[in-house]
Amino acid sequence: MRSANIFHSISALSADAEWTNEELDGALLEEGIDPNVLVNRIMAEIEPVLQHTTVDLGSGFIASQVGGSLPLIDVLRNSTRLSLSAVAKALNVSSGFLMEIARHSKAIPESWRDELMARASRSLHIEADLIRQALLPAMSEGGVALGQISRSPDTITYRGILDRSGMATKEKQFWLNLASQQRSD
Amino acid sequence: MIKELGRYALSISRRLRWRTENPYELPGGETVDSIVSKALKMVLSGAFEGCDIGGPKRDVRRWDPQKSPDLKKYLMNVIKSLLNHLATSEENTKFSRVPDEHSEDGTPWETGFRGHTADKEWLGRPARNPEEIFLDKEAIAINDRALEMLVAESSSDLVLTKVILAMSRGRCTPSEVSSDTDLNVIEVYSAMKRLDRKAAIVRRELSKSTFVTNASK
Repeated sequence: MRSANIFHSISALSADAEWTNEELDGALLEEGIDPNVLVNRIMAEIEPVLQHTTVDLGSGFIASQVGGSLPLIDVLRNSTRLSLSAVAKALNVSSGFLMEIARHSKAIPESWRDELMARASRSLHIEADLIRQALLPAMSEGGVALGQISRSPDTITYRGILDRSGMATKEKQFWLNLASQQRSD
Repeated sequence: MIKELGRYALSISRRLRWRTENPYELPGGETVDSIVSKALKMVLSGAFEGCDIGGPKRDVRRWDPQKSPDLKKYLMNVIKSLLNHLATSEENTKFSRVPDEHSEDGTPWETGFRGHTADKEWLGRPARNPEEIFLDKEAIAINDRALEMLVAESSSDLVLTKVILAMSRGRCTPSEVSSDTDLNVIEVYSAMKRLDRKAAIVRRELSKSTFVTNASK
């Protein structure tokens, strides 16, 4: 790989990792930037806009659209300290697919759960049980997180999840095959 | 998230060539934090205005959580786009040539300057003149020197040395680096954070030495 590409990859991949507050302060101070001054300046600039939005800059999601925290996403991010995009990349799915599964876990076939647990365990060393449990509340209670998104019953199917996942046809086909294998079992 | 965006903006800014010769103080009176503020304002405005009526608005990025669930990643792409746009602006390029920059994910922007980033074909020229060829060779030499410095800077950290070697062998994705080393994906990402900080040190040292060389000419 060319030297320039190596630096490019380092920059891109480090941006995908979750940085702790201490790491960020250290990195900014090394660059001669006072982190608190930086935050105060930016907050002062965006304050008027922030007053009119539901975006939670801490979690990085729009509250009204996502409906608060989603157990699966919390488990994946807290266990790895990686961004959602990086987690999705490691699991070889799209971040849209992960979000849809987290929102509509009731709709996904058992074979998808098994596949997700296997991938999370293999690629990210996350205990399978953690993933299973993260998907359980929505199954048994009609969706703790879902309840915050919409009061209407969740009618989405696994095909709908795939349609909204933004994944390539080949990947969608893999998950469809997995679902149909289970049905024929 | 703001600190993360600030660090990211600075990291991208350092990789671009600025007439001001300062990655923090940018042309047109912009700074790294004004770029982060601008990106946030554009995205937050788009978020609450829900501007589907009347077509795309100027200076508003419409974030689609369905399409890009990771808001931080989306904001980073907006920041990168703004910085690339500024780097290729007349204000910056009047006296200097901006080197090619490769897109991280190839995501085109929905509004505004679609395709007008430094990584796009439109900046390509049919043939390079001798000065450009010389500048390209110089850029390659500087990057090679930077990599040598990065290796030296990381020599006390075996993990970082392993990761750099794997990348030099062409392994560029986390899973490729992971299978080339005995590190798992999370350790690879952790190494990338440390490498990025070391890369910043190298860039600072290089810019100092370039400044000294130019001044002594």
